[in-house]
Amino acid sequence: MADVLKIGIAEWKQTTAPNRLRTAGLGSCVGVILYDTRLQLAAMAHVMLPDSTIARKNQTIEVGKYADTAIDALVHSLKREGATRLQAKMAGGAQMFQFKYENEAMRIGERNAEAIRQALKVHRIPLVAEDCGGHNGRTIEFDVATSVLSIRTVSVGTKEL
Amino acid sequence: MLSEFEQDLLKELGNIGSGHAATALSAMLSKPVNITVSSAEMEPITYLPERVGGPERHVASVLLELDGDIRGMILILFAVEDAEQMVSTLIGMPYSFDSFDELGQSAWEEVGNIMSGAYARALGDWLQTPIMIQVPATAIDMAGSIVEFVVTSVQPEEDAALYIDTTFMIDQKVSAGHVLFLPTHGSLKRIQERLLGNG
Repeated sequence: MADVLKIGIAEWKQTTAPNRLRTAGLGSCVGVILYDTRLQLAAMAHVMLPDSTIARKNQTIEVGKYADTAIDALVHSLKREGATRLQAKMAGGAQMFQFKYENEAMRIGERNAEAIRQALKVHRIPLVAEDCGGHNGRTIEFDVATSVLSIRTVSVGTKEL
Repeated sequence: MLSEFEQDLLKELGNIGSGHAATALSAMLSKPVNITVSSAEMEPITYLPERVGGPERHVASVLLELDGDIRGMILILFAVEDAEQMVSTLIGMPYSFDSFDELGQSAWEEVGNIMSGAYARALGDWLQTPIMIQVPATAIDMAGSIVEFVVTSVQPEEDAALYIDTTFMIDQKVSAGHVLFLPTHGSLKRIQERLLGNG
């Protein structure tokens, strides 16, 4: 029986085929998946913020919350399972509201996506496909067996990457 | 977390704000409006999508930015069907957000403007401090996406928001609204000081 593993805000999980990984209601957050097709192994994180250095001192860091720590955690965990050829897909990073006067904090979606691209570069992991930005919320589901990422939005329906 | 005393005070704030909102909405729709507050509490932000009907619940929302002594955001969420009902009442004909055109958008913005403004005024009166507000922004989408956008925009390092559960009775029809007040870190401190009487 295949399970669908649900990933909440700032969480990350890893699984193997035939299971699927799912995160619902992505807004400015980005859902990123690293996977190894040979091992039928994948991990997904629901990244909330671009950079862990903004966390307050003495605070326990939730690794899935930040782009940098999330990518590090996924890479480390997948490699421990023997992954050698990792690839990545991601979706999210929307600007849900449009204000007359925007400040930097409101472009957080864009910054999340960019931070993940940078972190992937550091680890030399190819970003195979992405669906980021726009003004729509997304629910995404990754099928580990096929590496297909389904993306559902309220206005556009479902598409596959 | 807050004491029972502080929770009661917050509920009182929710009641005052809802009273203002009911009056304003009633004048706007020319219908009797009654709003009751069922609960008001501080909730961890990760619970919020569940509280508003699950992350994928299709909702209509209004987001108002607060500036001045108290900074943060007020977010109001309604199930899409309930929001459509309000817009239909306002424009005097059945309306669906499927065709979210200029008419529907401006009507929903107007509803949001009136309601969020009422809560902001109540907050300012209660804290005896002027609160400046901008024109609110609206979005109709998944509840989880909206809540997380707001949470990350306002206070990336805060882990709780004031959550007010309300029931709206408009022209005998009941709809559930959710009002979230997300103060910035400094503003939350000021409010707590005020709650404890030494602000």
